[in-house]
Amino acid sequence: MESMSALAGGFSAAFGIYNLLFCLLGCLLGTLIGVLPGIGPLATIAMLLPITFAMDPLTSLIMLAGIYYGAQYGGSTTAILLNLPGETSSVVTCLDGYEMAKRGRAGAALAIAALSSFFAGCVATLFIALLAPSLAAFSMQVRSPEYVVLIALGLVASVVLSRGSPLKAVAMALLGLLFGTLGTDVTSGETRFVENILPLYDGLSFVALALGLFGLAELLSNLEHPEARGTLVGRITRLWPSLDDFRQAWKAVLRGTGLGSVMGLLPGSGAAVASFTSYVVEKRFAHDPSRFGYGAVEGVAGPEAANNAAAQTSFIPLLMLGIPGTATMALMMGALMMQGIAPGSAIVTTNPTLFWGLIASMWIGNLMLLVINLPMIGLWVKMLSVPYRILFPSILLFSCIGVYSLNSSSFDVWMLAVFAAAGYALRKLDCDAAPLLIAFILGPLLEEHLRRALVISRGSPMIFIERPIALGLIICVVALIGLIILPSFRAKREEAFHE
Amino acid sequence: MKSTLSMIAVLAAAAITTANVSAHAADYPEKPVTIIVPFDPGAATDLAGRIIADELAKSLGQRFLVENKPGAAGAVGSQQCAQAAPDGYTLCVGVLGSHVTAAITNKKLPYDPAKDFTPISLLYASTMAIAVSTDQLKVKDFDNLVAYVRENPGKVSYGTAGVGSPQHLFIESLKQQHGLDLVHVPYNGGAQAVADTAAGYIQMVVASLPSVVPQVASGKLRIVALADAQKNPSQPDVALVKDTFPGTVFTGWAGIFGPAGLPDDIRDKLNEAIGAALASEPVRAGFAKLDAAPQHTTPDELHSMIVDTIALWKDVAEKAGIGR
Amino acid sequence: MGPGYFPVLIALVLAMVGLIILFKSLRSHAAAIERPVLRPLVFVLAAIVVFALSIERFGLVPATIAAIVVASPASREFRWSETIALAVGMAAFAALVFIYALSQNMPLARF
Repeated sequence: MESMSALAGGFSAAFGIYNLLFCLLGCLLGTLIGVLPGIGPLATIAMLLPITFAMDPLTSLIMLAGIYYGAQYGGSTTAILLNLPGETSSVVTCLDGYEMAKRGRAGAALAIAALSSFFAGCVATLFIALLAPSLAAFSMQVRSPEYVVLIALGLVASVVLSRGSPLKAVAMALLGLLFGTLGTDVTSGETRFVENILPLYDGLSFVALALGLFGLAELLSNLEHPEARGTLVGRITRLWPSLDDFRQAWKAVLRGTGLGSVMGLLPGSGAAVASFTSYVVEKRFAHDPSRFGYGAVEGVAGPEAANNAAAQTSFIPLLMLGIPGTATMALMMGALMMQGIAPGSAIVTTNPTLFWGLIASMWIGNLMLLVINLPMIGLWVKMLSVPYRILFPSILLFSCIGVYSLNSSSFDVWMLAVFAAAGYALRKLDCDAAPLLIAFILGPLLEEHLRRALVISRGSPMIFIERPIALGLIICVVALIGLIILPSFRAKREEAFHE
Repeated sequence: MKSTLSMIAVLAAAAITTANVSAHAADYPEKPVTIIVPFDPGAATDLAGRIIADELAKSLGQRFLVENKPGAAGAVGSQQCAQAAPDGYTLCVGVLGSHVTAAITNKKLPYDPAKDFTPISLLYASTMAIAVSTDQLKVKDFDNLVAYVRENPGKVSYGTAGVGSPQHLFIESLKQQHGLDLVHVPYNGGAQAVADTAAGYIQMVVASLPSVVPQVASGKLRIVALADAQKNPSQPDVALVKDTFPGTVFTGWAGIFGPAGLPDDIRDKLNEAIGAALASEPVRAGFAKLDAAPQHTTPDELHSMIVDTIALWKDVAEKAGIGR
Repeated sequence: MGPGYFPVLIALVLAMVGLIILFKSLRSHAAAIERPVLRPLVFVLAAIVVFALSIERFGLVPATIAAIVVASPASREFRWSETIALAVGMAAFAALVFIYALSQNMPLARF
């Protein structure tokens, strides 16, 4: 089978000494980021982006991907030990994980989290390896008209599945769309909102936007509420789960893996939503739901499996279709494009080493993470207890350096300040910035593809119905919107977020 | 008596200043020189700039540092160079896009490529290719293509790196001069245009030769013409645009510039050093990998290239409605 | 569908959504917006601005020191001794990592 030999080729590339080294580095960094509350993989990947330009594309992608799914592993560590979600998707792990720790079962909780994640990671990687080639052939058919519908689907999904008030999510997405129009319009060559300021010709700096709205807004919030960072470090007793734990958890792991693998494919959902959904599902399926919230092992196993599976499969829409499912994926896409690699249709044929090397390294990375997380817990927790008054200036500094070094542009650093202020304001107003960021990336793409499709079809909108895939996708979008309108679906979504 | 004295004073002053200037040029460079490359690290222009910088460092004995300042298709970095002090320690790499089409498409451009720079020398010329999708168009060469377009006005779409890009202006000038009806499909960069043509979504693309070669190898694209002045050795069977349309030549290029007011001797010293560098083995080898043909010119030749091309395409742009 | 089409459309819909949110909030009894605390905000933003102003003119080392010194008072547990130590330490670390190890495009220090 062609894909098997390609995968073998990918493994040999991934086992190259540099790639292994950077995979390890990425996993270590990712774990560190996951462990440190206040930093998510988004900020660090944004920070490291400029550095990856000097590296081989496969190596840089391996490292960034390692950071990304490494953060999922690390996030559960602080969630369990300190009731502090290192990552948005670890929020759910806090619920039962911390309870287990309070009962002296931190070791079991940590081990279950790591093992579930490892299992899910392996299965998801296999999933990608087997399914990806058919997606590749299919995606050659995906051109501008299909992209339009897919991106519209992504935009709608990101709003539906984001936190908080749906109305505010829509407003944030619209704001993101508006920010996205700033710059040079591809189809006409005209500039919008630029006022002849040269650095704005290429639009707002995505990294400044992401770091400002997410990383620095979080930093400001932590400075305002120092008590939210409570640093009690309890004792870790036994490291290994009991046989009972395994018996209770294995079904949750399977369900979580399946759920996460599928949800990772949908643009706009990703790891966070997968873990929320898994928790809700586990609670429904449990023999004794009252255990949940008091240290139920399934409440850790399921969501952890889900978020790691989603983290792996969310690379499929990115690599195969060129659609970033989450804000972090959008950054990865930026990383790829700045290396001159256009993700999408042809990537399996034009860059087979890149593609298969990445997939192989995901499996290797999962293994590395398992080996890292189990013994190194002590060290991570030590770093957590660095007083914030020393930690936060460092975070701020690295954000500034990262943003500057992207384009050697101090203008971008000014933008960082503006967006940090904006992010702070949005938090005060209880607005989730995630739809804004996703819309900022997807909006201009949507407009570009829409207008290009119309230019090529000479103005005929029939193009969206004539092409079968586009038509099929339109039906999906309509169905999804229908689901939103159904009140029962909305209530379930609210429930999942408020639990 | 007075007039003789003043004459001597004037002559003395002239002698001193000339001596200063020559002494200046003789010592140049005394400290590291910065070459601004207005593109991202890793872009072809950036790589070429680094190759030249290394060679110049060897011959002139000082470090030549490349500073990347991307943005606005080369305008950000070019503006910075234009505003730098004309002491020879800040130079920049300029290309067709930043020093010709930028002025045509943006009437409010904050620098004037003809006046705000001291052209020093051309670095290289690169080949532009016109390629068609093998699925969509069965034409074998450029003449066939032209005939097909004439028979099917408004049916053929061509992709370029963007509105106002050199490729766009080139095709528009062909359209206006020879009555061809083609539909322009702009992209954000040449790579996507090539990808869509390879997929058969659009029929034709105008892009740099290296960017279409991989697709030719996989059978998805066929190069129907090159826009060079002479046949390209790597594509000996491909026709030239000027065979069908005499006198029509279009090449991409990159050159080294300094801010306006650069002293002539520093400029000439650099020009000489660049000429030597372009003839050297490392540069020839490095440029060959980038499909960049090393080409040395005098500062005046570079200047006329810019002024002439602007004049040539200014009307084309007006008629086609490009530019704000 | 020219370049102005989408921005106008988005702005119109955004305005409508904004109005709806406004009306809903007038009717609801939700919690009031938390008052902004000025101290962290001012110092953090000032630190970013200081960095933006000094990175090109003065280089990485001065910009780092300046940024950390300006940012540190944002925390209520601010101490001069720690800040200075951190600033110098970070400057050295950043210079090592970004300029020497990763050859980034920024001046080390210039006056």
